[in-house]
Amino acid sequence: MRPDALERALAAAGLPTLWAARHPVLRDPEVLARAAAHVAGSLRVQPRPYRIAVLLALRLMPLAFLLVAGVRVARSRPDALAHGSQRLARLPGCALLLRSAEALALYGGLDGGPDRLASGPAPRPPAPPSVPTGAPT
Amino acid sequence: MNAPEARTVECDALVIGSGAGGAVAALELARAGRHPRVLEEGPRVSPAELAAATPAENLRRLYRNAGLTPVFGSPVIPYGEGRCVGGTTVVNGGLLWEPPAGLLDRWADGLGTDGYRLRHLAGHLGEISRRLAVDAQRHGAGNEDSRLLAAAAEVLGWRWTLARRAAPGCAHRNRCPTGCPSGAKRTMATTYLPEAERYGARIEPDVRAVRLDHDDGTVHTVRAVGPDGAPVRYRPRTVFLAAGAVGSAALLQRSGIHRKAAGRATAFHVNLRLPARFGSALHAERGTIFTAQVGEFSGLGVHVMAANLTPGSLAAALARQGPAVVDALLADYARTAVFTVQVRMTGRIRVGRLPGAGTVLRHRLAPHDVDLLRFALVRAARLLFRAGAVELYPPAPGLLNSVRSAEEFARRTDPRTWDLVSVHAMASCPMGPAERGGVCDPDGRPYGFRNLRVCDAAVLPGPTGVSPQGTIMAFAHEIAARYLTAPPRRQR
Repeated sequence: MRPDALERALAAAGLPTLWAARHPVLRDPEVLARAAAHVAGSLRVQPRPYRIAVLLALRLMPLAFLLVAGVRVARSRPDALAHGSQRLARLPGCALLLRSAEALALYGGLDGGPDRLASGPAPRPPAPPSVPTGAPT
Repeated sequence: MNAPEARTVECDALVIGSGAGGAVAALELARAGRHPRVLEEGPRVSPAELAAATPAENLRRLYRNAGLTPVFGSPVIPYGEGRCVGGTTVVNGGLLWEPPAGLLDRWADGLGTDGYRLRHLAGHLGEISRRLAVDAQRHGAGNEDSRLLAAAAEVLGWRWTLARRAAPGCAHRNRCPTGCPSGAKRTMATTYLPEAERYGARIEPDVRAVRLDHDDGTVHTVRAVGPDGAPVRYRPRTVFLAAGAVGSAALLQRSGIHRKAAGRATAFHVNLRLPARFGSALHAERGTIFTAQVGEFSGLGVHVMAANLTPGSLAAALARQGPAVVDALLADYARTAVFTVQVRMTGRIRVGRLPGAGTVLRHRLAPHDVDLLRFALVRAARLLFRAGAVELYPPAPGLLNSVRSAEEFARRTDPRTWDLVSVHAMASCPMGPAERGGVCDPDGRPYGFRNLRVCDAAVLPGPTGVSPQGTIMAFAHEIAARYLTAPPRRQR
C-alpha cells in the first residue's frame, strides 16, 4: 500500500530514522515499520485541524533541523541526528511533538505486533544490548 | 452534485451514546417496550475481533483520537475515552466501585440531589452487581505487583482493598485497556446492550449525533451523520443523552442548550505513572490490570494501584527518561512493574469550541492540585519502596531510589511539567441548582426541557474520586426509572 501523506511526512521529517538511532529496540525493520504505522495511524484519527497542524509541523521539521543543526536530516549520521533533535526540542512546541511521537513509536513498535498473550505465553520484549545502569540490586 | 437528502427516522425513544449510561437507558427503555434506537459514534467490535487485533490496533480503533484527546494547559494532558459500542467500558479495567455514601450525602445536602443517596441507589447497585457478576478480584497465580503493594500497605498500616471487578473468570490476559481478548470482562457491549436488543432495542454503530433541534423545551429532531456520511434525522418522542462528559456537553453547546453552563467546569481525575524496578523478579505482566488498590488517602481522592504492563506501554511511559533507561528496563522486564497514582483534581476542564477546530478542552490545575500531586507522589514512593522497589521513574526526568529522593524530586519539580494522563471526566452538565452551575434537574433533564435527559458521567453532581462506572450506572438507572414511572403528561 502506498504510504499516505502522514507516513510520507513522518519519513521526510526523519523521525523513523531518529527513533531507530535513539532506540535499539526500534532498529529491527519490522518493529520500526510498526512504530511508524502506529504514529501515522494515531495521527490519522485526530480531528482535522490537529492533523493539519501536525502535518505542517512535520513538513517544516527538515528545514528547522537544518537551521538548528546545520545539516540535513536525510544526510545525518545517527549521532548528528540525536544531537540535532535535542536542539530542535528547544524550539517552542517541538519538545512536546517529538516526545509524543517517540512515545507513540515505542508503543506501536513494541505492542503493534501479534498479541501472543491471546493465544500463547507472555511476550518477551525485544532484548536491547545490555546497558549497565549501576543501579543497586 | 447535490448533497444527499437526509433520511428521516421516527422513533419513540432515542439514546445517544452506548457506554455505561447509555446502555442502562437502552435496556430500561427496551424492557419497558419502548424499542429505543441507540446511536453510537464508534464501531461495534466483537470479542473475537479484539482478540485478533494487536493492542496498538485496538488503541487506535476503540478510543476517541487514539486515546490522545489533548486537554490544553500546563501540562497538556492526554484524555482517553472509549469510542465504540460499549463506550469506555470496553477499554477500562472493569472496576465497579459503589459511590461512597458520604459523597452521595454531600451531594444531596449541598446540591439538592436528595433522591440519589445510597439508600435510593442501593437497589440499582444491587442489580448492576448481579448483571455484571461483580466480585472481589483475587490475586490468582499472578498479579505479584498487586500482592507486593497490598503487603506493603499492611506493613505501613494503610488501608487497601481487593479490586471489585465485573470480570468473572478473568483470564489475566493483561490487556484490559485495549479490550478484553478473553471476553471475561463484562462490558456494556457484552451485557446490557445485547439484552436491550433482545427486548427490541436497535444499536446503530458509526452514527454521530451532531445537533439537537428543539422548540419550547422539546427536542423534536436529532441530526446525525450515518456510517456512509449521509445525513439522518431522527424524530424521537424522548431523548436520553449519554455521549460522555465531553461529548454530551459539546452536543448541548452545539445545539444552543445551556451553552454557557454545559461543559464549563468539568471535573476530572489525573493519573501519574510510576515505572518501578524491584530487587527480584515479579513478572508483572502475568495478571490483570490490578487486584489491590490502596485507599489510605481516598479522603483526598488519591488511590494507588498497579497497571497493566506491556513492553510498549512501559517504553512509552519511560520515553521521557531517555533511551538508556528504556533499554535498561526492557532488558530487566521480569523485575519491572508500572503503578498508577490516581488523583482527583480540584481544577476543572472547560469544554469549548473553536470555529473550524471543533471541541477544544482546556484545564487549569488549582494550587491545591499541585500540592496534592506532590503529596501523592511521595506517599506512593513510600509505599512502593516498602513493597520492594529499588528504583522508581517519576513523571518527569529523574530517578528515585529512596523516599528522601522522592521528597526532593517533588519539592524541586513543578507538577505542571509532569507527564499526566486522564481517563475520568465527569460533571460537565451536572445535576444541581442552576444558581450553582447546575445544568440538569433531579430527573436528569436540562432545565427547561421536557423530553431530554442526560444520563452519563456528565450528569453527576461532582467528581467521584473513584472509578465512576458504578456511580454513572446507578444514576442512569434512577433517571430512567423516574422517566418510566412518571405520570403521563396531559396532551395540550
